[in-house]
Amino acid sequence: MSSKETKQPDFSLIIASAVHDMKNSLGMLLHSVDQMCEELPDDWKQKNNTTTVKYEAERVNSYLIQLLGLYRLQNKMLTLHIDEYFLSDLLEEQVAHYAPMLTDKKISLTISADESFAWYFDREIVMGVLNNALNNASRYTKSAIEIIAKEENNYLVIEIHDDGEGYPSLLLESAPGEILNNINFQTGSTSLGIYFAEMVTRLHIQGDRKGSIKLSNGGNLGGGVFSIHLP
Amino acid sequence: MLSSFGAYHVDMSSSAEDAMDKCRFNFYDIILCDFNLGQGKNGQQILEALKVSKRIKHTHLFIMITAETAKDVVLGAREYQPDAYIAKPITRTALEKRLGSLLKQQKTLKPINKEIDLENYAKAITLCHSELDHKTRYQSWCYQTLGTLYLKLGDTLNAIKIYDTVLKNRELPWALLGKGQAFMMNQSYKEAIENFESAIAINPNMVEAYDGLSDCYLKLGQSKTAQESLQIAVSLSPRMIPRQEKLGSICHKNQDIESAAQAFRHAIKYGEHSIYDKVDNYLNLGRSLSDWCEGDLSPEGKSRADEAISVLEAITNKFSLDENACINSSLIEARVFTGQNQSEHAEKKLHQAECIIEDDNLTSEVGLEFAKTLYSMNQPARAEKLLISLAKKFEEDAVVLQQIENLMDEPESLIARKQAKELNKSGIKLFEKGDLKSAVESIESALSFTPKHAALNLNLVQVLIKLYESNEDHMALSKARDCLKRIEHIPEQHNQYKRMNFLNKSLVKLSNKINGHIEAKL
Repeated sequence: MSSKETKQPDFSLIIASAVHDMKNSLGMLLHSVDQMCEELPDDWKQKNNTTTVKYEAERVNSYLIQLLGLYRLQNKMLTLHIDEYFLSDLLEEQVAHYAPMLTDKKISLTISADESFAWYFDREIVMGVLNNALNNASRYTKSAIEIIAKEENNYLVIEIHDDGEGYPSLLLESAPGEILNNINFQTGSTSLGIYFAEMVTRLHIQGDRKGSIKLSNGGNLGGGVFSIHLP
Repeated sequence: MLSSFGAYHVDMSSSAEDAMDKCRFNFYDIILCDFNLGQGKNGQQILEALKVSKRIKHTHLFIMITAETAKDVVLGAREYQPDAYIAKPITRTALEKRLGSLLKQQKTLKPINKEIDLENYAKAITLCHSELDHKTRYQSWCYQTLGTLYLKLGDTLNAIKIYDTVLKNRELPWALLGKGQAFMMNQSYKEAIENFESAIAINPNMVEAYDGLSDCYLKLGQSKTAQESLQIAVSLSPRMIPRQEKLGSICHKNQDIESAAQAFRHAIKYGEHSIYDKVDNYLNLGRSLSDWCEGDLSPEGKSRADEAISVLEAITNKFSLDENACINSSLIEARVFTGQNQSEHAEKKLHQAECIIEDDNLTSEVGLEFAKTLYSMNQPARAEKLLISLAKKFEEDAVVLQQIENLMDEPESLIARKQAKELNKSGIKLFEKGDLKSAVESIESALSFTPKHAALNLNLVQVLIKLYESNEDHMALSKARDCLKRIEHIPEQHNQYKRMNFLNKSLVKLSNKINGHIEAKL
């Protein structure tokens, strides 16, 4: 018998590599679901709620991406690839993605961003945050979602308004940039998404200004407002 | 899926080889390419090959699709600049939107890209400016392209102007990089370094900025710092083969044989299947390992020797049609065996090479390799004869002459050369301080490592003459004569030849004076 001690591998590394594999196979799954749905007759699509399948799979996917992102962040492996992107392109991509499901749920989605409005950020990261916020909004809104991209005080501001009940007061009672203090992972719910969003928007730094997210209630539609601010 | 977006001609390839074949005979408007293609080339290597062989134009779109998020892969892939980079998983709708906006941009910018493809850079610049005047949506692209085009034309003044316009609004790494490159072209290395460093401060992964730094330091003669900058670039993006090759040769110049071997190892590893799978990398790795393990009979030394032999043997399989490479490979192998005290094997390899070498059309590369091997196998007379004939043959070629001189001066092992260099340095310092006796001792011990080094011998002559002038010790002059005798073989193309003649004359004059002195006394 060997008396050699087996070295305990780092558990977070095990999780990260498992998450990586899960993400890849989920990607394949999503792709086949997409293909399968395409071949279904229209009335079947309605009846069988294919969008729910897609939507839930996407949700898992976006969680996995966040987990991987946070793992990289902690290990200083997450580096930004800042480039210039058009907000209207980005938002339209999201809308195209969510439109079928939102139509099913009878939720209207509008965007407003100037066609030539561009900004500098890491595409994958901002898409991830947006994706998660939209996911969240579509769960809690009643009938409408509005996305607005604009420039404010030399910051890029993207707001996602909904007409739901709004955010719980516990999450709101914080000064900007201090949202992390109010996250309690014990209670579950949306914390991971918000935590991820705050951590990665912070990485966007320009001079002495840095990115943040804000949660508020009211807004254009009277529900919750999730906003991203990037310098 | 693509047909449903309205594409009327779609070809698919399931292997890199097939994709390359298709691109050889067709131009595609859009190429969607996965990074991971299984066996053979990967996506980056395809893009590399297409760009180098001009099988893809600026008016075409190359989109890299990848699930790989490892940093070096992503960066490496981005360095050869695909037009877009899409992370998997990608859904149908997202792909459709993405392609839509890319095509829209491509359509708007097509006139400019067309001129760039035709190398009508001046025309392309005019078009960029007019696009900017029309308040284009692609302002940033226009500025970036303008900067690159001005740099291509060597118009650094306008390039800097463009970059400054951009930098007024936002500290963007690409603009800082471009500005640095413009300053470097102007030989304003200090300003160039500042800009490269600011670019790195914002984006620590900007490999091209480290390249710039390295080039600047090389120009400033700080080759050690140049090596360090390039080493960072290589650690960020190890898959760029030309950079690995460059690093290898800088390390070699810096006599950092360990790092040189590492760089050439990487060049071979990542170059497999790429257009950069070149025989020189194998030879250089063999050379580095051979220098490294020379006379080292420890297990580590032995394993390096084994590695050298297996790398060099690979040449005869992989590049068997390249006759010179095969000769060089045998010659280096002979040195490796000599360094491991296996003279029988060494003789066999040397003989193998000698059978193919034709004296009449000997290339400088093979000639030098041959001479080096002869030295290491203790046949200095043959080596010198060969080098002298080479010097005559290549007297117009400054680079080759320099290499001949170096080898003639110091045929010894790298370790001996390093020690000689240090001792010579301290000798010069002592000389400058006026401590002539210690200077002589220091340079003499340097010469014990590399006795035939021309400049070193002449340094000693100079110190000895000075010493004689201070104490009239005749021993100094006879020692100086010995020095000159040791290097009397150097050909007139040698850069120390004139200095040798000059010092020789001074010495003769001094001797005559002494003789006159003695005669007068008599």
